Amino acid sequence: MIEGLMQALTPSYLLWLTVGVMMGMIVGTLPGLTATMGTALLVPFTFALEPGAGVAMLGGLYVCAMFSDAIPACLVNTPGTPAAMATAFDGHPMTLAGRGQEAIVASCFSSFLGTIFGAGCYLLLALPMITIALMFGPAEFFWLGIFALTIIGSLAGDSIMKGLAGGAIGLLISAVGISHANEVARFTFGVPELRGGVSLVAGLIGIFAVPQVFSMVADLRRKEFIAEYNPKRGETMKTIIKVLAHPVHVVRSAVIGAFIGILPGAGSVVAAVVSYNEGVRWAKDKSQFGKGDLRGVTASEIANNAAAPASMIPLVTLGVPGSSPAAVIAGALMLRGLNPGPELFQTDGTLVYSFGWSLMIAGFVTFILGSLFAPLLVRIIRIPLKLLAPLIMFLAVIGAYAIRNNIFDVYIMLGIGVFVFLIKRLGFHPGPIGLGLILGPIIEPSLVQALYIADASSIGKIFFTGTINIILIAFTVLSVAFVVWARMKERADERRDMSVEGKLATADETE
Amino acid sequence: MQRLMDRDVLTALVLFFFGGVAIFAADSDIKNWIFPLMAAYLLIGIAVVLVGGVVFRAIMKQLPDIVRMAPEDRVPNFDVFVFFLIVLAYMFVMHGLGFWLASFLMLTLTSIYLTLDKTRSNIRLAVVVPLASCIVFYLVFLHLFYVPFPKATWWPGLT
Repeated sequence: MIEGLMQALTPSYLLWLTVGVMMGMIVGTLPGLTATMGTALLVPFTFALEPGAGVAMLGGLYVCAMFSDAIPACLVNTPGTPAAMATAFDGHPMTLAGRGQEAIVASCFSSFLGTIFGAGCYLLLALPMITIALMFGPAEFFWLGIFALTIIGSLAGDSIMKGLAGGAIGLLISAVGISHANEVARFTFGVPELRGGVSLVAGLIGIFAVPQVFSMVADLRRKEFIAEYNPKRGETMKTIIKVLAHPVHVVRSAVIGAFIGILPGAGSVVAAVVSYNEGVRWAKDKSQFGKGDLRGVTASEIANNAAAPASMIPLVTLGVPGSSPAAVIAGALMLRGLNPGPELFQTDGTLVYSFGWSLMIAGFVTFILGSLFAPLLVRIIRIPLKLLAPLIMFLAVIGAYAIRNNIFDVYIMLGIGVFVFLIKRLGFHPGPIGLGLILGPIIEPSLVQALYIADASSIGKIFFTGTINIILIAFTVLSVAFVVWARMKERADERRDMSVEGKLATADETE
Repeated sequence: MQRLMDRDVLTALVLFFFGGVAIFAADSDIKNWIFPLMAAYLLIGIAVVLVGGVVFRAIMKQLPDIVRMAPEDRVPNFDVFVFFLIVLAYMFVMHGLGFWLASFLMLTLTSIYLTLDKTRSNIRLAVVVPLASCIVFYLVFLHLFYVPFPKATWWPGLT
């Protein structure tokens, strides 16, 4: 392990790691460019480097993209990658309240904490954690997805019914295309382009960015900028103290992120969503979540960054990548004749450990660069809306197109955007729709696989037995019960406040 | 009649539409359709509950929550409509003019339209910023990320 650290600290490793981090900054900030795409684009450059330096560069890109995707999420309500969706829930309201710099610094510091924790797990706890992760089968993944869906309770806004409906619409959109069971075309209406399904990135840009652009245009005659720009000296230190003021919240988010990161297929997106949900559930004062609560930003960012290094654990221990960028990194190693898995520990243990240390160092580099550039980045909100709205639309078009080089994805993005803009007027919140779209591809394949397994035994045995299933079902039931209880309590409080106000008004009139 | 414009009635109509389309499109193979059908039945169920709530409020003679456009929202909504039309036109001319020229035109037209105070310097800004953006993103996406954007078909050779 020490040898790995020494290797990770050599100047050439540090240089290429920093190059990766800077590329990650660009990739994460531009909507439509995902960490997977960025790592894939960098793979050819790794051929000229030592294998360790090459994977350090790819790891640096992945870690940094998990931070920088929070920048557009906070500033313009457009997640740079799907993993920053939950960051936007509170990050953008913070920007609207003139706390954009605080949101960016909090994202940066949280990403740093998450990366350190995730990389720590990679270096120290890989083997015990993988034992638990191996107990997850299709039914467990199904229940994990259902449990993640309960976040709708926190995102639904005024109407839980419309939140649920939004989630179901998102799930339906995710079901467009070839089915997972027998490859039957669903909801394609004879359009061949729809057989490939709705691109997740294009869908999310449509759900979050396009309605945001339309809202900017609608607000143009009332205000010139997104929000006030209030640069403050010493904001970084103050924000770090604020983040650290909730140690239990920080540790919980990191543990959730690292654990979900290990589960192959779940990744940073689910980690951020589940962590946000748990952040809301365990907070004493929940009233500010969704309106600009710093804890909302930290929950999401700590978890999605903890998940990034953690997703490398199954790669180096079992040879199974925990996320798409991990799969690309696996490919880069295999192209150099190194087979990821238990064998790699024995044949090239130094590389395995130097990669872990590189991920940790990438966290530091990301934090330093992020803190330095945060005041600069926040200046985006000083661009007048008349110029910013067209620019975001332009970036949205590029983002939707670039992911699959398919112009049809741009039409889908615009269609979904117009639809979400219109139904927002009916009281829908974009969050649950995005959540449904993200969780659909995780829930459905697990459900179908579990049903096939159940053919050989029984549905009850597959879905309702096993320790992890029982725990996840219990969490889901508790989560739903908690949402119902919190809503009832909120309504009772409102009624009590109204009756008190009524009595006071009557008393004033009598006087 | 006014109650038909109730927010919950309109929501229920949207949900009935989505749920109905999903249910009618489904076939008998349960494993292919169980997931969308679960979502569709959830939508129908919510729509029924919303309609039930509207009927209950009507019986209790409570005021409906009508979707209205306030007079002061007419001009902003018109702005959104014009912006949308320009973006829609952009999608179509992209095939003819190529991605970058079409993008420059879309950016310039929308920026000029959204510039309320159309002074000479503001107009200049509304042209220069789109031009600079197009050049920067052209270099980033074409030469750094190798994204092949649609090329012009009306004048081949134009990117």
